[in-house]
Amino acid sequence: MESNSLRRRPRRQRRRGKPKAAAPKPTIASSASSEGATSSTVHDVPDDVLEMILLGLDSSVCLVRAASACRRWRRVVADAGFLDRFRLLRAIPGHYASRLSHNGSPVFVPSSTQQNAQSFSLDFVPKIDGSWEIADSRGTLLLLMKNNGVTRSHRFNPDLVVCEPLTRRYEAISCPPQGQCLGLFLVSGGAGRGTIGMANFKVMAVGLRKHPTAWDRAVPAVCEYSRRDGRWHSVHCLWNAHIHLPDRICSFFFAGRANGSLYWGIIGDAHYGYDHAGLVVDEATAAASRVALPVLESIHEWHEGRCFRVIGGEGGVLRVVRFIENQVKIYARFHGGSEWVLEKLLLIPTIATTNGAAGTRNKIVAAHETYVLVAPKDSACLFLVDLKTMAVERGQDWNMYCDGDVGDLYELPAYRYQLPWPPILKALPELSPC
Amino acid sequence: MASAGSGDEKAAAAAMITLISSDNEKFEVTEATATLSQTIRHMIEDGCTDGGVPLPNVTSKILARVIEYCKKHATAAAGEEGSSSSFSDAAFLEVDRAFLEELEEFDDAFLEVDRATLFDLILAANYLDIKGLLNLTCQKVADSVKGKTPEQIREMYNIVNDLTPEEEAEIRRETQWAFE
Repeated sequence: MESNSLRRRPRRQRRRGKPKAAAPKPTIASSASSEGATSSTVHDVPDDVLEMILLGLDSSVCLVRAASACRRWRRVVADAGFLDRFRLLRAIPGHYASRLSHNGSPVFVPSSTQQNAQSFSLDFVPKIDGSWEIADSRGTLLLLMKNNGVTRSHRFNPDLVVCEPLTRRYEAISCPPQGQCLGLFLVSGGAGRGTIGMANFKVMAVGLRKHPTAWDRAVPAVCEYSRRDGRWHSVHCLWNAHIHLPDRICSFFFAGRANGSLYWGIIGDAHYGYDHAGLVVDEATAAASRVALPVLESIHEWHEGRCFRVIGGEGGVLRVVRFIENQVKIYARFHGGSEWVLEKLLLIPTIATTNGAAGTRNKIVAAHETYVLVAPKDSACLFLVDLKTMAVERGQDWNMYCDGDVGDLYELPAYRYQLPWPPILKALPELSPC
Repeated sequence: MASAGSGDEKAAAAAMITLISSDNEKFEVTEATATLSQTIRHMIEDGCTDGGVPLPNVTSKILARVIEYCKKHATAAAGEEGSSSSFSDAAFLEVDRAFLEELEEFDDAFLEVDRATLFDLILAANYLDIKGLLNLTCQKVADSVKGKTPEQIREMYNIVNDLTPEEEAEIRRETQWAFE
């Protein structure tokens, strides 16, 4: 009789293959209780049980604090195995999705039903006349922009806000100088690929300006918001003299960020005399150039760009994900090469919706180094492609997070939210007993 | 699994095991209750439980609590098994939910103990290898640590701060986001 298989509410799974470790010597003597018998303390608990206790913490904030209590706790947490297990459970809490028709904040969709969506609520961001839409996410930060109205920047009615839901802080920033804007992006304020945080961010605005000589052409223009003086500064943007770009924003669609660069697809137009091409802008140097991207020719309208994403990967590999009909095709260009190869073709099953709550077009909801989340048209649920294993699994149903107004939730891209992870946790050397 | 129990529930219920605490108190429990402990289950499988199972690491006070937990959860498990054949799915789910709710209430009440007892229970659960009890008690400690500063954690658990001021300052600098 399997009396051990209790069906309890799902608590954390325990992972313990190894035999029980002997309890280490307590670092302080167990305190003696009034009856004279010794009573147990946390010092009597062996390391593998202390590990279980600490894995039960629900956020990396709690974990980092606990790891600062003493050397022993720090050593248990700093163990690579521990961080991996904790990461699996808690590190990518979910995605933010803007809502088209709702007046209000974007909604947070947790990756796991265990995750409390409420702790990532954007209710601390000031209410505005209109709604906030997500422009970008990076690490623990979100960049929000007002999606309607023409109010110019104002202290209490800002058009742009950088916020950190984890700590519930926000900072209103002024609008970029007017002009044709291809997108706003959060970048690290530090040199190189440093961390990003409320004290350390920049906002990069990539736009178009008139070509100095060709009247119907444009060249890229980049400016950056600096926290130091609270102003936007034009950034010298290197571009090749042959980089003629169409001067209409609607010919571009944002294709993603990968390996430190931002990518756009340019929809060719024979009438205006330009071809399909990719535009790439380096986040650190703002250098812009054209790049060959596969299957771009199959895109004729702006909305089709939602089924085309550029993502990065280990070793500098660049990938293009194309979602068309019921297929996800993944193309790869390996580091140093210039050739694109079809790396994988995956079939996405169709699960018809029963309540009509679905997008009317295929869409890539989110695409990152390790996974792609797609919403097939007329489908009730999302599908997750794990890029490590190339396995397709049914993703979660986002209906429950949007008060029954799911149609528009699937229309805009979703933005991944990350915890500041991995925290820099080093085990400290053991003190020699004195 | 267990030799006698699989076919005949009455026989299983009749099979009693004697557990002996560190202070030599004897506890008679059913095999179903005892086998929530993997450690004891293995002893039963190996047929070395005649004359009682000595548990030199567990006091009678703690063993009584552990048995209380095992009895409740063994009953719940048996109840679930018994009901699965005789109810329709919907009714079964209803019963299932009622069981789970009752169990949760039991667990919450069970955890209303002082800190020393809680760690005694953790050590006993670890020694006896009772997964449910170990998860439950460890989670209770984890919950008590949530939202606390390192100073509060040290105070709560009598932890001596063995970090040097320089190390502490460095930790704060590197993980500023966790301390704001």
